Amino acid sequence: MLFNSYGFLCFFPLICILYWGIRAISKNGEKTLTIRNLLLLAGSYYFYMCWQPKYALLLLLSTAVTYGAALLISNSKTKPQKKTWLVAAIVLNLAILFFYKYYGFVTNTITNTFNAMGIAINIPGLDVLLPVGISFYIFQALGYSIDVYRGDIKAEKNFFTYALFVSFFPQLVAGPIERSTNLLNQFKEDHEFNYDFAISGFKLMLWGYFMKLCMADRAALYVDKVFNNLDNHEGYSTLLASFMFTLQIYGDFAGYTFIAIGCARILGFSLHDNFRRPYFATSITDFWRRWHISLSTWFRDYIYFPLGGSRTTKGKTYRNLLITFGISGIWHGANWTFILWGVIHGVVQCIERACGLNKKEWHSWKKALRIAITIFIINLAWVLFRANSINDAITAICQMFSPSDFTLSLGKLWLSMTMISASIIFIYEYIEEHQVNKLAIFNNKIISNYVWPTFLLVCIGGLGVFEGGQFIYFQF
Amino acid sequence: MKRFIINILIVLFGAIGILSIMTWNEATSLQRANFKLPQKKHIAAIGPSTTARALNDSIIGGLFNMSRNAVWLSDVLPLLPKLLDENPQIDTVLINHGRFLFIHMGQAKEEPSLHLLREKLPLFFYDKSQTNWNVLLSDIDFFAAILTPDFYNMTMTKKSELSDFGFGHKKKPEKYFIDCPQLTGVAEYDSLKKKHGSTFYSKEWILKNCADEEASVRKAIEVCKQRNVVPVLFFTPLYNYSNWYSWDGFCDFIKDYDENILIADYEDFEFPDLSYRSDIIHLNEFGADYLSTDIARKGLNAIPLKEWLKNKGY
Repeated sequence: MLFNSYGFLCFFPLICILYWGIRAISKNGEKTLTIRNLLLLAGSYYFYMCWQPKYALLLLLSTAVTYGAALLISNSKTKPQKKTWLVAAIVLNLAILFFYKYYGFVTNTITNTFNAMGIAINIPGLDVLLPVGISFYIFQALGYSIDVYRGDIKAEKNFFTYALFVSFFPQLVAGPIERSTNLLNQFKEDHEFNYDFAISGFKLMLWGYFMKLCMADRAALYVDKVFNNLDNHEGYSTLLASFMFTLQIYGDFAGYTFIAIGCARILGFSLHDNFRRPYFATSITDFWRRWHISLSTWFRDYIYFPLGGSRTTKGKTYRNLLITFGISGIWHGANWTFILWGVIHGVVQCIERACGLNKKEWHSWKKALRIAITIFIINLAWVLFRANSINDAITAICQMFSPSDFTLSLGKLWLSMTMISASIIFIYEYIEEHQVNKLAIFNNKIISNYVWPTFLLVCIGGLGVFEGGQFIYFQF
Repeated sequence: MKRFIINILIVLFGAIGILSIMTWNEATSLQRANFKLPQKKHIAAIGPSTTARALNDSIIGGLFNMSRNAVWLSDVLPLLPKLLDENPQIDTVLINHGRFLFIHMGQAKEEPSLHLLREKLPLFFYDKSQTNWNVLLSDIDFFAAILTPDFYNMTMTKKSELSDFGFGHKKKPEKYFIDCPQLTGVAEYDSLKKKHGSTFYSKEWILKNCADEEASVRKAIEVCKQRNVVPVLFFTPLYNYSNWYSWDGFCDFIKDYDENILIADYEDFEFPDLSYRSDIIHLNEFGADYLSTDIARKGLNAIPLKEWLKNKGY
């Protein structure tokens, strides 16, 4: 069930009505907490099964494995015992991920390598669909296991509460990847309906829909046209498509996240921010503090820091960065393009660290220049993300810098609508970035709670693309 | 909670109200629909889905493509006089029609059911997109301007059905496949027959449409001549039609047309491979771009009817 589908527009209000209705009926919220959590759990599994019913079993399996492992870790007396259970949980979950996501990639790579050496080899393939959101919920479950091992949180004894933490529908299929220390405890506490919190959630949802329907899906019309037919496009059209993809992926992913966070807020739950105006970053290092924050902090806390982080020699710091971002690339997809994309980000960060650019503060025109350079690098890297193969990516990048005649095959109306949507988003983010939103006008309740959401809805109605575009990050 | 629900309802109804006002203004102005085109648009293309999916008027700068999916030439034709009157710069009109429908004029070997024919096709790419180009006249303007509400609703229903006909995703060029669960050829045709009654895409239905289309072509030519606009019969690329098409029948029919009429025959236009076609009579967006780029670069290859008939050995 996509967020931008009629099914979800029926499902979500129904869940809200039932959830808050049950609480309203009973005078004591604590008594109905279990029922409400079970409602959310059932709703979350229904939400997931709308895609692929049988893969709900995988979700259940991952949940059960990490639940059991956490209890065993918690009950173990010695550190080696705890470590054994942790390793078992990690291996089992990564095995599931490998089987469904990476098996084909690994076997193809081995086969191609041997073929290149003139050795014929035949490894049986597997015809399996990639379960939606598998990378997200497995990492969330693994994070919990590691947190229990480290003693950051006690093992959850209630299986249903833990299952809800793993499968909570707003963030199940495309994040944010929540930490148990944040979300799990929220399911154990009763909370009242809070108008301000819920309205902020509603506004966030509208903002997410605006980003997705008005900018991302509109940009996608051109991006797909060019990248699916690179041979018939040259020069400036490829360059424009690359910038459009930069807009598309941000609108798509951030849009989804804002909708997810907004949904959770309306239900009374607080999820972590996942995006913080990433295209205002002044360096790639800064970019990763603003983009997919839940993933980057996950990698930082569970891979980068255990490797030694930056509290080691320079050489090892660079090594740790490259390993972390290489793994990040692999996480995004089973293709060499993603790995290369991750490595490029790692390499650039190493260079920034070596030149001291990662810590420097920039102002005025220098800041603008740094932002422009960062966007340029990010844009080039996104080509790898979007292209079907490294060859296609190289073709696209070469074409981008070859002058050519240019024809805008989608028409000026499409371009105007896309740029209007993008401008609204970037003006809003500029205001937030420079904290102009603290001005009184933006805190006026009428403007904030009525005018702004109405404006967004009108824009969605007028500028949105409603042909059911899939969210990009679902494929991860 | 009550305050929250009231807040949302105010926002929702406020937005619906504003959008209604915006759309109402657009709807009421449709009767005075302004078909004024940019001055550079001096060629109009009119026809059914074959034309809509063959010409990209963003690539051919001087062209305005007023064809649409899911409608025939006869549906589009009422717009032509108004378009020509409001745009005196138009000097040429490309007229396309479902020429394959003229099969009744000759001795075709097979019944001309497009969907039955799909069973016999090599597998093609299908693209899922509708015509995202040709945006000067939006679909809403277009349909509301010429169709009655009932026909509009029927056409919209037909459109949504037709969008499921074999439209899948383009994959890499070396792979041919149809990614559409409904594309089963006979089963698809039978289910549609059941839904719409025996007249849907039956021979009787097609023959009736043939007569309508033929009348529309003649009417379109007449409209053009009245306004000193050059009519050009435009034949879109077809694939391997020889088994189900009768040349003699068509030539015999067309020879009675005005001898000064021009023919722009792109039926045999060559594409690098099959991936540019959506089915035997439609191009996909890649095919449209490819054909349009060729026309934009080389100009329209239009020759007098007599010369065309001679080339065909008639």
